[in-house]
Amino acid sequence: MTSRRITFAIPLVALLFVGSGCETSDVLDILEITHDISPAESAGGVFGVSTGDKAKDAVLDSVNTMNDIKKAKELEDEAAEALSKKPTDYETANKNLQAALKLRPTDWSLKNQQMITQAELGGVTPTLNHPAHLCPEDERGDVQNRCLFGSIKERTALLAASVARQKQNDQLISCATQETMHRHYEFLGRLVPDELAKLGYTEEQAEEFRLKAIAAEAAAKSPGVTCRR
Amino acid sequence: MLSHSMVEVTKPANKGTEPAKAATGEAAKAKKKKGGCLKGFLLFLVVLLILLGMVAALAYRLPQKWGLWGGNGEEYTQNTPDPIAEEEIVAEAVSKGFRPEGVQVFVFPAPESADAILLASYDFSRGAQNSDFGGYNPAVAALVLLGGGEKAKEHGVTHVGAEFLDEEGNRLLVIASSTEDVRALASGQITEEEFTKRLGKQIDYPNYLQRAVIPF
Repeated sequence: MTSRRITFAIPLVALLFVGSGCETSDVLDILEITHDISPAESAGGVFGVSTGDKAKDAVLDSVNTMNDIKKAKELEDEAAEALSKKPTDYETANKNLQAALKLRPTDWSLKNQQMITQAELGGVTPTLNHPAHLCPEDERGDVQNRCLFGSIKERTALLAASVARQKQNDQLISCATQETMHRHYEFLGRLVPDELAKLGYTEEQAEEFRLKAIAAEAAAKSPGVTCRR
Repeated sequence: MLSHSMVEVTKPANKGTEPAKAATGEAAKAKKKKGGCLKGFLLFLVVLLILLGMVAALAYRLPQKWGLWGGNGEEYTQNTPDPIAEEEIVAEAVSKGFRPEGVQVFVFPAPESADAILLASYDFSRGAQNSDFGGYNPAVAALVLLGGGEKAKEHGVTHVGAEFLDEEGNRLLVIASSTEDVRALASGQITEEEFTKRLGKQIDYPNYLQRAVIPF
């Protein structure tokens, strides 16, 4: 009697597992590309053997050095969310940007964002006022250029967002933001056509920048009247 | 005579102790042999454990995680990721069907040239979803969407990769390709099968075995 029960029970238990391995999920779909993974690839995957392409190896290896970057990015996203709240949650935004900068102290994008946020609150770190000061001094060539052009373009976008945010909060634009705009647009207005082209700006836009620089300079002159202290 | 008898008396006695001596000698030898066996077995066990530990450490990629050895990834990741390139590339990919929720995209400038690499981190524990594109496997589609567009070309992206974290946030797989191969696939110069063969793959074996071999 017991053996008959066992005979019936085994297929029933086995049936519980039938199809469970055939579940479709996004993760299992992804794994399909590994179905024909070769022994050499397997060994390479474990021992970190080169694929023969330095940059491809770098991509594979970069995930091992990404923890701080990912964490900083999360903090940056949380800061952006705090800034988009109405009223703006400056305290959370500042706290998150500072924490992100602790993880990535040389990140020029984080420094840029922190500077614009501080300006909105009425203070600016003077050394960060020129985009070139965000870039690592010991770097030359492409890295330096990429930092310089990247931070200039990013600052233009960040300033526009900052002004929109302050207006949305029914506030006067802070004097520090006006001063930052004055310096930034004046700098852009002085660029030669070749440099403007590298940044993706036109001559017409350069003229707009010059006008904006004049307006910001004028607004920054009367704290409490044309700008927020 | 007396001495002779003594000799005679002692002789059998001698005869009787010899086997006894031999027996104790053998017992000691056997004991010694047993002790040697145990020592050998323990040594074997220690060596086996060390080997197993090494294999486990490699499978969990601990040397790389601890920075004991690694490739040249840090040469790229120490640079500030390019936020404008990231934004533009993602916007272009979204227009073609890329789903950005739960996916972090980074564009890292190359250390000594105007080139860059792109890395996407798909985290299924944070709501990442596969994108349907061109009938490709979703992992391949991710590389084509992010690395095969005009914006990626414009920002000098030469290589593209993606890491996939499972529903618990544990890494499962990392893949990498040159954008040259991505474009060859998109233009039909190579098949998806050939593209997949050319992919650089890195698998988290403990997690992979659990997911792919024992999926239930």
